[in-house]
Amino acid sequence: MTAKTKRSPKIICISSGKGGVGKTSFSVNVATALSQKGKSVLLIDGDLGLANVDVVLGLNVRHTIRETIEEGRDLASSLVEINPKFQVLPASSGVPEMANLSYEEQALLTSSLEEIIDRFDYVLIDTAAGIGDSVLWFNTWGQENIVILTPDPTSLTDAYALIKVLHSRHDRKRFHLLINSVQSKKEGQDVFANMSMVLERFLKITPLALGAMPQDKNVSMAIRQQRPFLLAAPDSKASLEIIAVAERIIAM
Amino acid sequence: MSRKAPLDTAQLYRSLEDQARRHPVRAIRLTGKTSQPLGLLIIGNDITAAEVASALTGLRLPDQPRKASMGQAEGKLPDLAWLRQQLAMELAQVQQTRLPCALVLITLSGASALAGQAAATLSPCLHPGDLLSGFQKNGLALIMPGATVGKARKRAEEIRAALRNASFSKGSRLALGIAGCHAYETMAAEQLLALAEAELARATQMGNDAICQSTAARTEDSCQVTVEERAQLWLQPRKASSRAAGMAA
Repeated sequence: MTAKTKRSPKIICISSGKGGVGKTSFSVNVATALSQKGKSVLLIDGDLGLANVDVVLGLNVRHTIRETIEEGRDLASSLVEINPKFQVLPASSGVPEMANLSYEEQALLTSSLEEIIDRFDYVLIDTAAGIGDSVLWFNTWGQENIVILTPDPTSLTDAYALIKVLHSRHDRKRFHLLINSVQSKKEGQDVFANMSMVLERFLKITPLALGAMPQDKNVSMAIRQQRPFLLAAPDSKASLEIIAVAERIIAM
Repeated sequence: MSRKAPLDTAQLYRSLEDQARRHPVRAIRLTGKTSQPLGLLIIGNDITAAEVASALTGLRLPDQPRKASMGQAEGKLPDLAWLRQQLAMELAQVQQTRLPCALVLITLSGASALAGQAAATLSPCLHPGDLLSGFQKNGLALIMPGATVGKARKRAEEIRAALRNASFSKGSRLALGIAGCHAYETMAAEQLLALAEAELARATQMGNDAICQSTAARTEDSCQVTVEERAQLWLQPRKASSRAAGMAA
């Protein structure tokens, strides 16, 4: 066997606990920003039963992770190139069986993913909402955990619950918090400070601040256009913040 | 590896699997269409997963999940010594796989020849990987690899229903005790057994076909966000949002 020099990509899992807080939009845009900075990125749609990355990017997907799990199809053949530095691994939508993979299926997916990820600098996983088995598994597979939350009490509670499960059951200690849809920088800081205080007090975890995404109408407009807001409105407040977040990710 | 293999072979394979974990190799169980295991394939970790998968497909010997074991021979359940040995192996596995493991102890007082009849009654309730043995004079022990105490509790309720409906159990009293172990705690087989025995004793005392589960395990099994945590989470962001919107008094 010839010795291959394998790169080791940084695997980052993006979760939230609560649904609808902007995980997919953030994932797509931060992947776009990283690719603009010359980093090769793979974005995995980790919402295996209700995929959305393809929708946000307006892709016509022919093959997904499902074919690999069910038919043993080569995972590389499912990759979709968005630009030369940015590829997407889409998942299926409306397939309940895919939402909770068995232990054996997770093992198969891991080995298949390990075959393709070494060509990338960054692997981002946009997980499903909730604390299902697949969400927890993706979070333990990743090296870094990004948790997205909004200032809403429901989002705060669900994000905290997710962190609590990952910490208590899976020994994860390093969490990057991204506060989404803030009305002001101050609100983002307050939400982060409060969450930090609760995490430190009850779980003895010190989270890291990844950023605070401002409320911006360009975000919802871009989603309707099925384009990253970074491309649709490059000078918007949201785009400027996502570029700053990408820089922080590179510095991780 | 099918657990229906002769005991010494099963233990030999398990021992080889355990040893493989300490070296840069992987052990893959080969199970064919027969009930007997075909062997263990020990491979180097430098061989890619795709190559291994391809080779296994060529052999038509997929690495199948092991079946539930009810001991060496039909009608004869393994004893407590076997249970301790298997429990020790499963608890070592907990640290390897990061998956939990639960132990359920069952007694049925006032019924004769419980073990054999009950084991047969329980067959449909067993999941792949379960390990069933005799326990004390007239009881059963069921190791559930991969199960949390919560999942074991649900399954114990199914087991209780199955045993209640069995004709041989009429007029007798059931008791079930559950304990579990997670990857974040190190527990010896004796400790887990003692916890489950304490719960079994509590269930026996309670009567009414009770199921009891370890309090320690129950607490550790739950990640529920507490009232105090919620209060802290909700309080300040609301104030912050109000301030940001210029709505503060």
